[in-house]
Amino acid sequence: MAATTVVAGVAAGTAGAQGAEEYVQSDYAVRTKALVSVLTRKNLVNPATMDAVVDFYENKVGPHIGARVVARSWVDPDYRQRLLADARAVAREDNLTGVQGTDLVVLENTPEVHNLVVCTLCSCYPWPLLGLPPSWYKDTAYRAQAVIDPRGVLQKFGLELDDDVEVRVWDSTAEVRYLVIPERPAGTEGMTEAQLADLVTRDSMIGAEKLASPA
Amino acid sequence: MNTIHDLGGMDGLTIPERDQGRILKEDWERQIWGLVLAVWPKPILGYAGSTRADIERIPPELYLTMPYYAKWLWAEEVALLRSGLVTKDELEKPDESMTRPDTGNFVPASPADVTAFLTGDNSSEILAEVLPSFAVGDEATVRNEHPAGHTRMPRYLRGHHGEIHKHHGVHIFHDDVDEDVGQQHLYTVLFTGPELWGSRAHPNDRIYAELWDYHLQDANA
Repeated sequence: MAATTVVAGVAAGTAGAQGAEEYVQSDYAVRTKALVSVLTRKNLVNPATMDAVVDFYENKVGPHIGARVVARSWVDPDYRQRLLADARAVAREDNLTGVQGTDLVVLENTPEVHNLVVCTLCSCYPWPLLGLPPSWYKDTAYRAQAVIDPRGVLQKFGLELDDDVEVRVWDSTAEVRYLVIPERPAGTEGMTEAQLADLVTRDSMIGAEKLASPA
Repeated sequence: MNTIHDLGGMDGLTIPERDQGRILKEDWERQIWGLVLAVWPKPILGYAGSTRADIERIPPELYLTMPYYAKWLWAEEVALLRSGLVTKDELEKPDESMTRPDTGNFVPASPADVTAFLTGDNSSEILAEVLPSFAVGDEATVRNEHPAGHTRMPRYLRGHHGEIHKHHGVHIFHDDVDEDVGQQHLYTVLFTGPELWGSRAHPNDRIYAELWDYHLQDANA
């Protein structure tokens, strides 16, 4: 079956309801191919650059970078203090800057305070430290509920917090990006920094889970 | 604008499982992501797009059901059409004749350009000699304004009282406002749960958000 390719917001400058009437949702692959083809033929984009972008976000940056920061913060109190005081300065010193993440703020979870990060308006996320955000973080329900019922959201994620724990929700409404240092799990006293980094999950650095002790 | 993207506090949606797999799953998702970022380092002459603002204009019934990367595709199409850099005919029939836009001697960003850009210092802070309106510890009230254009001031904060938690200096201001508001200081503002959500909130919940001078007024004014 030949797909009908209909383009969003057909009348240039009126990207609203007019385009929506003709919008065909199943055509993403066809439309993307068309867009890339036209821009490439007009020499407005270099396909090799597109490949470099995908390679960067699939193979170079990701949660392993944030995990190294967390592991070091667990073993180096001075580093942890510098991160909490001015994470952007640390990121600049350690070449951790990048698009969507240079204006970095680092938060620490403790037995008394639990931090959770959200972007209610879109999907802001610290790309240089965690890579691209997972689907749940971009989901409308997470964005809607994290600010009004963070404990309910965390409960659905499998984390029950006591009433006396203060929950701090950080809504990323500007270019400031947040990284959470999760609590270091018990039973990790003799581990090396690299071993510790392997324990740190992506979701713990958003505040969506606590880390379990190693088995 | 007051539309569906401004989701904070909305009920009725189902919290998803936390997915752990690959993020760019489909080929078209990888392609659109690669395309969007490949053109970021070197704006094309005449390109008139703002991804966030264009995504916000997606009709609500589509916004709620579109895959995430389809929103980026939508925004890119809309921006390029608006700019006149591509036409609807070209997108519908990409293998047939095309008009070539007058983009001079434009050379698109190379892989090296994009790598440098993606890892560069992309702070939004601006060095500017403007005095801040607030200091850490001050009380502030979020203005009860409902701009028709793009704003980074979520609805759920408007009219509420908070405390300046952190001052970030002057940062790029994204809102689409008619007046010339000049350079804007940026703050993280702390709100209590009960301030925003009344008796439904847990008393030990705190919500922090970034707001600019333009969004705030003196709590005692």
